[in-house]
Amino acid sequence: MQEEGLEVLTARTADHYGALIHHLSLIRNKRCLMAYVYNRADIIRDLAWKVGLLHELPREIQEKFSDSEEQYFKDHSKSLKSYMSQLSLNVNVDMVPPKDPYIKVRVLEDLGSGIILSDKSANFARHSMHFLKRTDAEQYIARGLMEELTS
Amino acid sequence: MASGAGEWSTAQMDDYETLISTTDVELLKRAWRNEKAAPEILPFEEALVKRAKEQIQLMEETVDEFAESGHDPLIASLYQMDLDRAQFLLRSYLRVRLQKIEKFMFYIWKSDAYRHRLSTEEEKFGERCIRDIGKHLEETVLSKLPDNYQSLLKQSIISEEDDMVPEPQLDTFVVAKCQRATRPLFLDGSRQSAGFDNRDDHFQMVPGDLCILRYRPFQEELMSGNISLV
Repeated sequence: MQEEGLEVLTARTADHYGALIHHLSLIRNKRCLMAYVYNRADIIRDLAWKVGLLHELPREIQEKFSDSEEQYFKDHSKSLKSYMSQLSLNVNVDMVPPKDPYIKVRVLEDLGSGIILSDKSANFARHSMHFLKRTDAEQYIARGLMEELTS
Repeated sequence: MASGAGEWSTAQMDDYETLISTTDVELLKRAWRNEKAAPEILPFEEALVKRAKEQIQLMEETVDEFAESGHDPLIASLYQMDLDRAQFLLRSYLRVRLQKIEKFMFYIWKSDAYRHRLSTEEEKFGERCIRDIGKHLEETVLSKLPDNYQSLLKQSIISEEDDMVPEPQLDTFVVAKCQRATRPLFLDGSRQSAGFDNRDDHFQMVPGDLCILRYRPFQEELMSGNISLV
């Protein structure tokens, strides 16, 4: 009887360790996959803060997204937008402490005419220079469409 | 405080300026600095944010009046700059909190103490964040794993606690400045004396001290306002 009991114990142990290794490697794989996807989502959130919400991302970045990530980017932008509208305060601008209320910018890409800013409408032809309010210009600078002239 | 309509005399303007510099802007600056330096999310300063928003609106109306009435443009642009800086403080404060919520959304969601520190809008934002990332993770990873491993918060259903939730690192070092006298504490955060008078373990901060210390033992002091982070 005791011998049988011992045999049963050893038989169980072999399978038991096999199952344990399977379980441990499964959760390790799960951790790796989740970390990968979670870190990519982190980078996407960073992009949303930098580039602007629901704006068109540059092509090179856009084509590296998976479908689910595109959806996540849109969802996250929507959440941020709804928070901002609830507070009626635009948390997206003013990423850097302001030195001057107005800054000089040069337009790098042709944006067309008749763009409405907070206090006037402007014609953003390529290489034209403008004297804009900081909050307006920031979103264009962040997307690389304008550059600030610091001299 | 007078409403924004009507002419403001210079004396009233000066009073308004001094009022703003000794109270709300200073408080907002301190709250902003604390929030930036702390590893966890701190209680939301609801009243302060509300007052700051009202004052910013007041300033905006004043500046608009100046622009229309053709007042000295230099002074108008100075007021505009002050307005911009106040707006930056407020926005940065809210932004830092949002980014902390994004980083630790599950941890904040699980513990009641942290949830009380959020404002109602931030709670809603946190809910939506969790929903979005949950959906994203499920679609890409979790639905393809075997049944027992599909939980978002636990590694598998046999884990005893939620192991896949990132926690804020409360043991990081921060630079703290003492505002008011604190009671002496041990560096590991406990307050009871060890029975014998061991001078080495006591640590007392004098107002005006600037120290670098671990965050965790000094959480309470930060909440009560005795110290502030830099």
